[in-house]
Amino acid sequence: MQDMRNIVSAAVLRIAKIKDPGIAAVEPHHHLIEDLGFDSLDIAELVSTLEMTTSVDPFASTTASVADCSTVAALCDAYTKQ
Amino acid sequence: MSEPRVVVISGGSRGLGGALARDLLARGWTVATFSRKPSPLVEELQRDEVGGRRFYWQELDSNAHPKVQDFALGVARRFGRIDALVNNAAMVLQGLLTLSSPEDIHRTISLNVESTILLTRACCRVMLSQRSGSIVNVSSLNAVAGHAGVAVYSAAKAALDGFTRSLAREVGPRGIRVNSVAPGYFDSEMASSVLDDDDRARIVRRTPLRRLGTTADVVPTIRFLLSADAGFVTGHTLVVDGGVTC
Repeated sequence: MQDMRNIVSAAVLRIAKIKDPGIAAVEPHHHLIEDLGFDSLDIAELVSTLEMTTSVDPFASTTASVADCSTVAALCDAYTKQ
Repeated sequence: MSEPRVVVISGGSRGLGGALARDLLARGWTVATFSRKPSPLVEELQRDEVGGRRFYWQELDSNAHPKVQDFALGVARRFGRIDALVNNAAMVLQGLLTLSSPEDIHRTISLNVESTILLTRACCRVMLSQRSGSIVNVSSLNAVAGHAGVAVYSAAKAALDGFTRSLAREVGPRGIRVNSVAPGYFDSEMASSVLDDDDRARIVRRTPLRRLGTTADVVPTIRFLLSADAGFVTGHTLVVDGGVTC
């Protein structure tokens, strides 16, 4: 479970660093949009990258939406529940 | 030596898709394709020493939507990447609209539009993670100009062109280009099934370049759009019709 959280956090950090090379780490409380500046394409890239890495897509069905995962912690929760 | 670029071609077992598969393999690409059943070309490419490493075929019906999406993910895992996608698989529904069955209409739209969109979605997700890719949708002259007897097919191909333009805007910021190629009438199995000799003669008379096209006219166009030479071309429909629509 912790491995999945690390994988998700690392994927978030990779994209965050592309947008802001000065960022050193992402924290669970960071909001993807408000704090890290993610736009919809960044989030799409994030979900795609995680699917390639983990074979998991928690948002494939209509019951879960990536829009509900506003923070890094919420995103990690979505992936660890799978 | 850099790794070969990987292209997914829908319907690459024969016709235009098969010719494209052979062409790109000869130029060092890795080609992954699927079709409902194998063909002599598929068997030849599987036997070939080089093709055995750089050619992957799977028996798959384009209308099996979940499996089409799984195919794309499988290719990405097998080869590590997807650099290009050519949406070539198609079917023609010929006949007056009012005499066409709802089932045939649904099947034509499902294969030509829905399957294409779902395969593109799956490949795009891989390309997004790479921040690079090139997609070519094989459209048709019938998307650009109207012809009686192919209204549903025309609707499907026009849908692909609209999809091309909007998707190009959507994924362009991630280095993914999306274009269409709209061939006119060219000698193919599909054309042979709908054109008789009188039809061919009439088309030739209407074509400024006074001949039907061939796959040799269309393959280089697709190859160009996939290449770095078209690095600033996206959202475009390139018509290859000998001037019929000019």
